[in-house]
Amino acid sequence: MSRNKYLIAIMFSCFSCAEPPRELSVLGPYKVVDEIVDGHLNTDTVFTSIRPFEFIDQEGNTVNHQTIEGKVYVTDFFFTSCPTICPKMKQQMLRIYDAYSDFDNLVLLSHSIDPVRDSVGRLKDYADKLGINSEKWHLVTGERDSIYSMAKHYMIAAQEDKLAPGGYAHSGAFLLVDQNKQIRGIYDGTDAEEVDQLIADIELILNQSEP
Amino acid sequence: MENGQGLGALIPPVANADFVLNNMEQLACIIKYGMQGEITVNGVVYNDQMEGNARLTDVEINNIIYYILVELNGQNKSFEIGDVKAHLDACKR
Repeated sequence: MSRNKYLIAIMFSCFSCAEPPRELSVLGPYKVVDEIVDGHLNTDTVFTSIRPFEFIDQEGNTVNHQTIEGKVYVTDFFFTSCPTICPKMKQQMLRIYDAYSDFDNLVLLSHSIDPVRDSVGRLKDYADKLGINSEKWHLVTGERDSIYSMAKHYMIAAQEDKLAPGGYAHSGAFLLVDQNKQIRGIYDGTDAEEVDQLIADIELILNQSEP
Repeated sequence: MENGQGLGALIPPVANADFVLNNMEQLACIIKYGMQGEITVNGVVYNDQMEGNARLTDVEINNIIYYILVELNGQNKSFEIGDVKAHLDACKR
């Protein structure tokens, strides 16, 4: 009899538990590594972290690992002549820009997949019209192959497509990368609700870094 | 943006936009073929390229113009299909 009471008590106590805080797992390719440590077999899952890159932003400044070192960043792929999803993506990205304008350890990194038309000058013009600061939101260009392989690395689809409006097809995904250069979230940048979640998740990650 | 407000100094508004009301004959062509160069909308200067959407049919363009004029600019009339065709013929590329 008392055992049943115990069981019921445990059940009820669980119902009144607060929801566990949202956890963001690391996303992307990983390796499972076996190691013998002190005679025990240790199995570890090692996630890929974003590999080194080098691009140039709208001010002509180099953007590479040093630019994002120790920072949380949101990244996407676009091009200035894109008539379809890009305006929406930029509008949503602006929300993130405004929400974290006072946080130095959150930056935005948008890659142009149209190196032909999107020169540094063109990117600067676009950035000025959007009203953004390059230190916070880098619009970058670079070698075509480097940009496209970077998109692959981030698992974001981007390619030339003569049949697509503007000549390029790409996904509207925003990726959230943490201070250890690991991917923690993928969101649809054209969807305001998903970007709401992204804005909340950025705060989670920024807080996690606090000692 | 869903409400036609535009985006910064990059994309002009189409809602309550004087440019729209002053250029009604050109709307079909602009929608289909895009436009570029400096324009002033509600007192703000914009200068960039707008991509057209050549795959839109006349019916679709008519519906878009209706939405822009009636829903976004408070007009109580819209174009007829015939108007759209005539305007597009005039700027045919």
